[in-house]
Amino acid sequence: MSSKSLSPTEPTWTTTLGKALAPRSVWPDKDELLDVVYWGKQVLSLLIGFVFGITPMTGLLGIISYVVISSVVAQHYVTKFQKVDEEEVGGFWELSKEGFGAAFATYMVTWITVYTYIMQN
Amino acid sequence: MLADCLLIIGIAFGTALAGEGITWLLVYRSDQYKRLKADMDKKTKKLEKKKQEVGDTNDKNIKKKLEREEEKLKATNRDMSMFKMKSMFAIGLAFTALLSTFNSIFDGRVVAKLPFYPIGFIQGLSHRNLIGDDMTDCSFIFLYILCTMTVRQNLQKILGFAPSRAMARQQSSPWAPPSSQMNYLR
Repeated sequence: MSSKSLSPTEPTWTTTLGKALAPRSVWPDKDELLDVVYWGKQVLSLLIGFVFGITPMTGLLGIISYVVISSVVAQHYVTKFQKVDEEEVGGFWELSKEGFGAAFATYMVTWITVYTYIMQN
Repeated sequence: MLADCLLIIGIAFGTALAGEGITWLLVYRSDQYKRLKADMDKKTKKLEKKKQEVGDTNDKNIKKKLEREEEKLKATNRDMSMFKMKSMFAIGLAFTALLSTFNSIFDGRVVAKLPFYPIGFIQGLSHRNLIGDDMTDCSFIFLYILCTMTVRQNLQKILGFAPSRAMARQQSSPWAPPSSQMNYLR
């Protein structure tokens, strides 16, 4: 995912994406899986922000629903889709807080922008 | 209002890109920084590996050895912070000035509608310099901070400037985010 010079063993983003979309991939480097979780959360945040903005979902419910959905989806992706033991990547807490700040901000910006558009029209 | 929202997202993207670009020019591309970062990465991984191998031990010698390694790591981290500090300070000042310019452009303008009612201390930001009692009106600064949070972190990750996970694990407790994440106002 980064532009720094890659060693021959370091995966490119296309191979990582292929592994991320296939079930039960092998992840020798757990940080690679956490990177997938990070970017997955970004995409999910955009999606949820868009849907909640259009619906429109308002109030504390919108925030709590996002936190619950993002944590549960990340956990299910790792344990059920990739069949990786949660403890190998640091447990439920580590998975939940992986890129949480950036993903939450992405969600808020999308939610607010779409909601503003809906309210304006 | 939508145009303002999109403009603010654009501004946040532009300033984050400029900030990272200038930091690259002044810090990231220098050989000394690269050396320090490689050294830090190596030491952090070594320490993590050792900690895993040892586990929970009561052996005083091993504990002392680990503490020494941690001290070394802290010293390298200090060197790295000192190296970054001057240029970060200059960039911080420049971007604070830029922020106040944008702030005055959007002064008193409702840039978005919030889909939630912000709690006490958030209202100070989300309703800054706005007239009226409708707390769902959003000011420039609140949206700008949110945009900067997401854009900066993602940009750092894409460009490979974000600190490695092993390094972040060693440096911060679960409750404290890495210091770079706190520079939202830059």
